[in-house]
Amino acid sequence: MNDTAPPLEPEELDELLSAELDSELDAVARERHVPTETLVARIRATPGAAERRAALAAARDVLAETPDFDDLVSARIRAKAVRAAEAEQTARRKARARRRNRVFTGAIGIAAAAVVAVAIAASLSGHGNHTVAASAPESPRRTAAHPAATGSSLVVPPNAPAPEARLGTFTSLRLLALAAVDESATHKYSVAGTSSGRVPSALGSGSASAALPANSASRDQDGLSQKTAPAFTGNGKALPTCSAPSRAPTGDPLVFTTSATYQGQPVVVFVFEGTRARTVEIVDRACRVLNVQSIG
Amino acid sequence: MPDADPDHDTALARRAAAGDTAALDQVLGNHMALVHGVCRRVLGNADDALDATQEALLAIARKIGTFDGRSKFSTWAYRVATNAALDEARRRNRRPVPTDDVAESARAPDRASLDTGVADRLDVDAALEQLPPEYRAAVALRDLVGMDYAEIADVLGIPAGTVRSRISRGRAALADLLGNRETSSEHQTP
Repeated sequence: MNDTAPPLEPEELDELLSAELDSELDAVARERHVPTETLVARIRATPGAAERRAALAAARDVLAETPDFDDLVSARIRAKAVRAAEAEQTARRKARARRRNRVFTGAIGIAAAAVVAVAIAASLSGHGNHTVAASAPESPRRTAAHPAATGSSLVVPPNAPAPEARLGTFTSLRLLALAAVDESATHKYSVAGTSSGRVPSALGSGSASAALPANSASRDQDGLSQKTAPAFTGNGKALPTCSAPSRAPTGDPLVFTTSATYQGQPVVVFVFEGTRARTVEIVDRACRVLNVQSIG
Repeated sequence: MPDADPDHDTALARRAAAGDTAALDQVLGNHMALVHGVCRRVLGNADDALDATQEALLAIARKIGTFDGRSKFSTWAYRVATNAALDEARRRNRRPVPTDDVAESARAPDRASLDTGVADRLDVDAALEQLPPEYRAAVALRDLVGMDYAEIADVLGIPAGTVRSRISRGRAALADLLGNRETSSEHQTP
């Protein structure tokens, strides 16, 4: 006990007494880096401290009384707050739904754009230099996917040609042969350059919608000469792969292989290059020779 | 002091945040009287206190989804209430005061005609009116709500030492007023 402790100023006394009433005197002592006993001694050394403590305690008790609050007014305010919360939640739900719809619409738009882009790309790659016809009655439209695209979720539009029917759809073997010769002039390759001389893609995986000009039908002058192609081997599946003959019946070397649709059926076209003319051999899905032509 | 169990309040607040209006009504009911008390102590005026209480309750109801449960619900709710009351006090200070009100407030209340409860209330309001609203808020959060100094410091964003000083000033102002009334009563007593 320190009896010589100096008295406190009125404001400081109030602060220490108030802290003491709230059991916060230890915190004050820690803050001031003095023992709590020192503060207590100073309070006791201050004249009128006990009376002041009683007055502050009375004030604290009055301040602790909860002000009157009308029950009806209270209920009304509470109900209003609950309604406001409900309105807020409804607004939030609507905002969330709007955001969801925006995202969904955006995703649909992107997907649609992707489908259109794929269709355009497929159309461009499948048709080559041929005119794209709006529709070709003789070529059945299918939505079969290219084998390489198996597992993709994209759907090929009805008018998209299969990549394998590279030359398009023909009703004339003569025109088909001419188209193959034209094509071979730009894409000529040696037999050794092909994948072991095999037809590079499977047959029957789709149909093309490319068509020749309207007057092409009048140019069909060929009779079909069917014969078996001994060098071809089917693999027994729905999409056979035929081995290409390395030479034509005339002995000319194979320079180009492609595919097309003839009268609704997939065919493979081989072009052999001779010294004076090119020989075109067209085989069906069973690897049977449908036609052989010589084009000078 | 709040009677509500803090864990129960937190559970109610979470249910309220998920859209349970019954839970919201209940948790508001648990704290409504003290929210009003804080507003009344800060503003010292019944009408302004009602406005602030309504604002506080609306804010609590709308923002309850942001209550993260890291602090006690009561701490969060009284922070919202205190801010609503202080905002109302600032708005009131900007409002022009009608001359009739000034004349009315200048007149000393006829204490003899008032019952003790009303007189005490007037004393509290009058005593606290000498202090800035921020001081009154500290007193209300301590003596009415029962927060400790650290919580009050957190709610008001001030150091604990400042909280201590403000509480002391508020109590001292009321103690002085109550002491004067007692002194004058003693003088009037034959």
